[in-house]
Amino acid sequence: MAKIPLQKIRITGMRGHYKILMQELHRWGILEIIQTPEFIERSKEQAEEYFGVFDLARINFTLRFLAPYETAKAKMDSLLSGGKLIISEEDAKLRLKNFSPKSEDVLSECEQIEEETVRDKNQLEKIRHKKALLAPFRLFHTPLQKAFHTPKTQTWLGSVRASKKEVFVEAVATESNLVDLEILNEDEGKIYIRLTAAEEIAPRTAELLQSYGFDELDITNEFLEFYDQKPREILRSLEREEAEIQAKLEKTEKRKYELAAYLDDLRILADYNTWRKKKNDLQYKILKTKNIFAFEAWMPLRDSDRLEKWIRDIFVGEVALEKIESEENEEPPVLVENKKGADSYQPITEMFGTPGNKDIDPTPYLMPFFFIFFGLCLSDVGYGLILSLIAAFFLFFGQFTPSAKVGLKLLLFCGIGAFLGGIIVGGYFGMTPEQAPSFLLSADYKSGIEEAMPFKGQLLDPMKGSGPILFLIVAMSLGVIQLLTGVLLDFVRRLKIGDYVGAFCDPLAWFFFLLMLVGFALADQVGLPKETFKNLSIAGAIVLVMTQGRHQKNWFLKPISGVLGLYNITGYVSDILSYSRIMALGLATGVIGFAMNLTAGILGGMMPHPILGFIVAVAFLLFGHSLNFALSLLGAFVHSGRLQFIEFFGKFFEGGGRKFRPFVREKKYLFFRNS
Amino acid sequence: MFESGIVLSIIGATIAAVLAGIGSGIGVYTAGTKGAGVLSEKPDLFGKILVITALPGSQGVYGLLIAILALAKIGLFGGLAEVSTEVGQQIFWAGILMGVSGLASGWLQGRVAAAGIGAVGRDESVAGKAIVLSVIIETYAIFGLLVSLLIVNSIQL
Repeated sequence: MAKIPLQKIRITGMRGHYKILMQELHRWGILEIIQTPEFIERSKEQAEEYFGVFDLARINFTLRFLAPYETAKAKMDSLLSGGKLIISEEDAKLRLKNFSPKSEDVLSECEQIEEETVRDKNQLEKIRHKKALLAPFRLFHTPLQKAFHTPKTQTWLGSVRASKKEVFVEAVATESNLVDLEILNEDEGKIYIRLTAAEEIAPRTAELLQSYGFDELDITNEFLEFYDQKPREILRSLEREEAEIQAKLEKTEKRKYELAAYLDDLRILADYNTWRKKKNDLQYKILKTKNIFAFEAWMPLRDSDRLEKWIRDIFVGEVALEKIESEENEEPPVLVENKKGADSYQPITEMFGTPGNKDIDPTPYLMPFFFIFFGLCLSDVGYGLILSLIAAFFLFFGQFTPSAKVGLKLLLFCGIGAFLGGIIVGGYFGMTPEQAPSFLLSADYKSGIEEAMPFKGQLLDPMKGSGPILFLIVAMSLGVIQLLTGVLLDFVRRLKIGDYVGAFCDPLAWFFFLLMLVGFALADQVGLPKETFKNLSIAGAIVLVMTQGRHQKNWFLKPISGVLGLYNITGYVSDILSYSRIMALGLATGVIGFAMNLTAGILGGMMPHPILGFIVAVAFLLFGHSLNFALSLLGAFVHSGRLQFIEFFGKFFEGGGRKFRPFVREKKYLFFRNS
Repeated sequence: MFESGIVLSIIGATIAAVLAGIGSGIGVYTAGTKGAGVLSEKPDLFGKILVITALPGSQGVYGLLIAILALAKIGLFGGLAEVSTEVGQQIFWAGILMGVSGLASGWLQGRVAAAGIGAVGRDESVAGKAIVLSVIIETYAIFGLLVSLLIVNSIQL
């Protein structure tokens, strides 16, 4: 059914055919080639190193480097194709052939641009820093060399706090008449000055400057290369340099857009190089001598005859495929496939793990439960519709790989579930019946019947009277049904692996006991004889007491273990309680939606003008419902999933299988048409 | 003032929103800082990390939910009803129940989420399992929400 039987095979052949065979097997992608220790020991040939790894890293770097420069149209296209390049295999090969000679140029140009850009940006930073330093001294009119290299005087450029301006000027004036002070500039908080003193009083002047917190511009060091220029000229040449670098940066930016045209070629190159590496890595698993090669692999049984025939036809006896038995204690990998519909729920099982060799694939059984649980958790017609429409849009207009399509289909189903769930509990964007348009309301409600459900098709009102309790009972009943299904599946599983005693003593006995308890609880409601169920429950309990202690060797301990085994009933009770989350989450969607509507109304009413109020209310509604949609969606998904993983799987499913990973051309960037 | 049913109800609603909000805040903070660290190494994982980081955020929503229901119950959004001291106390305890369960579970869920993010940083494929582990702890906030809901809903003014 769902788990595909696998066959272990051994392929042996003449060395000359190795390359072609591997090429084709890689394309088929149905073999998981395994490591056989004795082959490796006996392999005489030295493994060849693959030097493309370095190239691969460079290609991936370039892809990341250029990706932001892709045209808007290409970005849109990749949104609709899941980021893959859709191309036919022949075209890809052709482009690869044309691009390969150029690839080295493109790669090294991108690396060079990266390096230069970093350098230019640093340079730009430095220039801007210098400009900011020098700008306040723009009015200083002497070339630096003339001002600072004089025999008889010393000159300082720098700044003093503006609050000290008066006292400072005063102090300089009284110091000596051999000091000349010029205030070049003033801005918020600082005055910029030039001060020249005769050589003999220079040390004293320096002290004076220091005592006023003079902040000196070390102009001779910072602007060494402009020594013969005036500050204004220096600024001008700095600006010129800045403009040059900026022009260069703009040019490289444009060049990056041009180079981005090679992105598709680079993607093809990346995938092909990855495949080459994969093929090269294989040699560590394969026996290769001068004349022959051999390896072992797992493959789906259904394809083995086809492959055998193909090998026989192509290699006319020089390559042979034989089916072999798996060794003892060898765990074969597990390949799971489901029919259309159920396959959309496969990712949920995968989230938990691959089924083990003794497990049954739970996907078809969790499908209806997940659908219902998710629907009741999100339970809003509007949100469900939005989710379905988004998924349908991408399914219809996009071109995706099969695995991406599976995820989109799951979302589509989830949306439909939420739509139906919304109808059942009357969730329409959290609207109350008074707010809702009248075409949604039921005829009974409109005609004013007291007990009528407000919305068309609504079965329970979770906010009124006994509605919440009814919802809770529905949620827990679904839980009981799922748990009983789980126990029954355990019975089937044990029969399949030949544990007949276990199958009857554990799952079946429990199933009977639990079912009788449910019958006992419901007997009054449906009018069945309560006494009968009571007796049957007791009988079930007795059976359990008798069977649960069967593993004990000691005859005295057997009945004690049996009675203790009955204690497991608490596990079932807590499992059932756990399903109450369906009700809580279902209510949460509606109430938060209601709160968003309410807040939007209040906010809109607070605005001074009705039109402004309307705009604010609509904006808040969009924001609030997007938030509620996202949070409820996340909650509904993870909690519906959790109920499968912990409550449902806990009864019969172990997981922990090793997933079948075929030797296949993994396409990270490409998606081959007609393949 | 603790005689007034209205005041008690509003305190209860506030406690539900504030405590559960604090729990979620701390939880998302714990997970978010860890997530930012992992993102600096592996920016491609943003989608997965965002989902795990958002998980401890739900307690705050549950608290808000109880607060709004409680306030709607006493008619704060249109014509205050007569609220007796007993009803006020019921709503008060419902709020405490939601607040405390949300605070504890949101806080601790953040740590589980942060550990999960660390695991995802090392191996992307465990994202699903990390989400499930983190969700287990949320159960107890949901139970708190459930009981609070039942209390608030069953109150007859």
